[in-house]
Amino acid sequence: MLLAALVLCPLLNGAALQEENPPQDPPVAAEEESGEPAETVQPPEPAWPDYGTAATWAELEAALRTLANARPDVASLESIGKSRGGRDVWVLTLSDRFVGDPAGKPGLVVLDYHAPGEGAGASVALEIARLLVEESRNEPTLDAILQGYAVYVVPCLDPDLRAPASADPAAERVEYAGNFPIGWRPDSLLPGSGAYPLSEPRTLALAEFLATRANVSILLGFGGEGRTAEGLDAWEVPAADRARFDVLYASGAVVPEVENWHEVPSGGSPFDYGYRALGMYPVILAQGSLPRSGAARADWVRSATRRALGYVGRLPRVSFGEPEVERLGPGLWRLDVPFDNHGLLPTLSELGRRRFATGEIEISVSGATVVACSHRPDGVGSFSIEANRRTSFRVGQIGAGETTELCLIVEGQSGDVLELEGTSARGGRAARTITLP
Amino acid sequence: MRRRGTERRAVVLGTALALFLAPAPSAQGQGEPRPTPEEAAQDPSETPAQPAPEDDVPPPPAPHYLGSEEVSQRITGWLGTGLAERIELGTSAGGRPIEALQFGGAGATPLSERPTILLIGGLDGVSLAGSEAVLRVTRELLAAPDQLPPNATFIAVPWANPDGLSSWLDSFVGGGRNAGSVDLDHDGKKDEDGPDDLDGDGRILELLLPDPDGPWTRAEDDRLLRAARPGDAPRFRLAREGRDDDGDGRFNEDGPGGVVPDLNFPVGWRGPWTGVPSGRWPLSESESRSLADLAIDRRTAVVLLFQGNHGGLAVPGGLDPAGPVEGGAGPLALPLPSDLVVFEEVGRLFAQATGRGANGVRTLREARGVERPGAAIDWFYVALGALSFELAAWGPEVENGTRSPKEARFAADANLDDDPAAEPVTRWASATDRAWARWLDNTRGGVGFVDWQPVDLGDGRRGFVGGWLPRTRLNPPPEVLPVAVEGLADFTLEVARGLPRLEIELRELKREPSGVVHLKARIRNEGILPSGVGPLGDAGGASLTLRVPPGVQLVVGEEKSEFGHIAGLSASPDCEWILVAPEGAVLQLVARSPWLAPVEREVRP
Repeated sequence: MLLAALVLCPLLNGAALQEENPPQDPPVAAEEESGEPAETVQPPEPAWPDYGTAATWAELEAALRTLANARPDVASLESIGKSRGGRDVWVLTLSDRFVGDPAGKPGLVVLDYHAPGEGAGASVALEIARLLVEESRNEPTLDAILQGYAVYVVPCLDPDLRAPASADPAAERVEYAGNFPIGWRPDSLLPGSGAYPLSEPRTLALAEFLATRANVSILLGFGGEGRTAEGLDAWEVPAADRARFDVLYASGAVVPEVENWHEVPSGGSPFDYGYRALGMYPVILAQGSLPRSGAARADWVRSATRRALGYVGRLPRVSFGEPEVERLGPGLWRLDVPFDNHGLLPTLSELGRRRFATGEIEISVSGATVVACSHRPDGVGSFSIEANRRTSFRVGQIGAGETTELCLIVEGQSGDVLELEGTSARGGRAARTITLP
Repeated sequence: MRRRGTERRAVVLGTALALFLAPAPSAQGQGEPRPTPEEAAQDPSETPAQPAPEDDVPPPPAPHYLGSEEVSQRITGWLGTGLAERIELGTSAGGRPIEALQFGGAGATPLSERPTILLIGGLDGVSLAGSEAVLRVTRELLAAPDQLPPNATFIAVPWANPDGLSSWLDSFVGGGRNAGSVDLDHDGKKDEDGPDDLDGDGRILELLLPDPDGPWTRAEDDRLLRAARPGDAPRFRLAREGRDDDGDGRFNEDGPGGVVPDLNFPVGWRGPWTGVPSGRWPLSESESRSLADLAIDRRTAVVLLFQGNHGGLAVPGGLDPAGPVEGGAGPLALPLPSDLVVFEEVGRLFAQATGRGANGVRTLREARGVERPGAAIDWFYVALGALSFELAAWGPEVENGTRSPKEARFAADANLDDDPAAEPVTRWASATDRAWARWLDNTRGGVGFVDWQPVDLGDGRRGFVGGWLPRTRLNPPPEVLPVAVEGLADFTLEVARGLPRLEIELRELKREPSGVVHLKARIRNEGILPSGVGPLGDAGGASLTLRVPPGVQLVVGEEKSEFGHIAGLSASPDCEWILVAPEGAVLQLVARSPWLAPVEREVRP
């Protein structure tokens, strides 16, 4: 399944990217650097959580630390805030830093907030992290994910729920899933929503975190007991996004199924916030088929992990195609360069396009004087001139699997080398070198 | 105690004069009387003109709006009297302190435990008159501390949006936005297209841009605009005076400034993508969040938000309930029908105290004439169950004898519009605009509006610059301030006096020789106002709990009975219990309600 998903996405515009950012050597061990054998007193590794049961907070925290310590080149652990009980809300960022800044790569967030008895999302999040850290050296598709993408794992947004005793009984009254801004209703109307949106330290921490991850297109979570806000009217979901949801939520025979999030009004959930305020696509894995415990539960976790990882291949991903170069006259050239989005998602949701004009794809050119630049979305219609004697210009957004044709008129001499760079907030970065014939 | 009409005004003026003219309570040092803190903190804008007895006595300062430093000095002066306590609310986005103080009548209950009346000035960042009103109300209340009810706490936040008010006071820019920075037009740049003084007259007014598809056309009174209808020409768009600095075809759509805190509250909040400077999420701004946290921390019973220029009292309901859905949650129909009676009652108190016409219940949207998404009073009402109002000190019918009932004046306009013999309706500006034009012509001699003058916008484009001068429509001329704030302290005091006062009334208490006890009780509300308003939520309204001590058996009846909100001057239904209690047993009844500390009463059957 993972391979099938990744085949849909040429994992990287790899050649170009690696030319620009050649992978560096992994960090050498201390003993290699010093030439002296290092005294290695390794603390005993904590036992890995058994997916047959729900992990405690201590187990989760220890597992995350283990992964981050094992491969700091691909896994970094940060606390984005504290719970009311003073426990850290951890995010593990999984991406190969030697192949680019994670913030510049297409991103996916895996999030769980349920109590231990309410699902296995934390286990799935942890297994995703373990696979990417431990198995990527043996499995090329996993390594390709680390090179080309950023996966953010938030296995437990509410640590207090997994701790022996909650430090603040008042916190238990506020349900995490109803405390986000969009569609929020006051506690007096929808008990458990909190006095105001983001009144909880952990929800505020997540909102801050998501708002600063402009590279994230998918917010993946886990289903639970739904909250339906009485009186909510129909959600506004543009038709183009509905079509994307249909693609994302098509389950087939695969377990677990994916919830039709956009058809069930809730209000105040992180997914409402992610889609409506940030333009991310929510994906919620249903947990109705989750066995209660034992080996069957562990199998379910592994199946869900593969399903979740499959969504990485659907993220938008930009690249340059083969250029055509035509000499118009002495020292004057026309370059036609396709700029593609290989993902199954657009570089910004339709609702996002309507709401945030920012984050447009930017093309920059160096190495020759650009007389004029223009582009034609999806190869249809007429070119629109975007810049004249500028070194960078914007080309809007690109739909899923679509191409924007770029037309550059440049002044230069034979042998001049042009460097093209395309940057999409959610579709990553691509580069292309063109030598004038 | 209540004072009305001319007599009331005379008393108020007399109090003010007494404050100015009274000698210091004690002379110190070499006999040179020191000014009282009250005198030290006196507002020069309210100083009545006095003939100078000697040539060398400087004339009193001209009336003016106070700036942040003067407001701070005023607050410091009040704190120095020992009658008020400072409340820390942090700083604005621009780092300015948000100053607040609390005070109340002498009483055993700590201020923090009493029902609280929040007096918030200028949260919208442009209503300087609202801030002046809070200062005036605070000064008058502190001037007569023995008149303050012992069961209420007042918290005054005169400059609730110091960044916005400072900008508006200094240069009439910013539109009430705090000192944050926002990409209002979503072009990836912030604050790049703000207003400019196109005609070099030192003022930023308005800009009319000819546009065949524009929404406005000139009204019969050619100073004013009206909504264009099909076939109308010429048409215009309206913007603040300035150039199209970022060349996007729009004028001054992204000027300096961040968020308007009054649009940053959760109920009915609309995201910044709708063009509202509402913040990246509700209560994202320090100004709004600090107020919210303060209100949650207290028993917030009443919120009076002094701002706006409708001249009246507006109740929650910033959005059209039938309006478009945003963010999935449809607008709530506010206020709740069950609360209309109390809003009307407070409206009557307002009319009596100020002499302004009673308008019935007007929602915030109706009073302002436009929707007000994310308005503070909507959240205070719905989420906290506070009796919340927007109180506009200034309006077109406040000054000089124009205090006749507002509805009648607007009705006259409506009749004109509806009269087929009159001019076609499409030629007239809105009733609100005409009311302002009447005020300008009848009261100010027409001075206060700059007629539209052509101006070159470059690239062959022309526009027209003109409009209302500062200190006319949004805020009154400084010399009118005393009129605009008159009666507001009396109104505030009347509201405080009307707060609910709950008593536990024993209706029956009978102990039979067998030890069986019949107990009947209820809660009586002796205040004018109800025990609470707004949705009941999980916390519920008022409740009566019977605490049963060990050795006493409750045979019939519930330990806790909930009643919802108890209306003013009324009582809850009776609660009845049958118990078996030994002689000498002591029972305890506890009445709880959203705004008040629990009331307890011992029962010895």
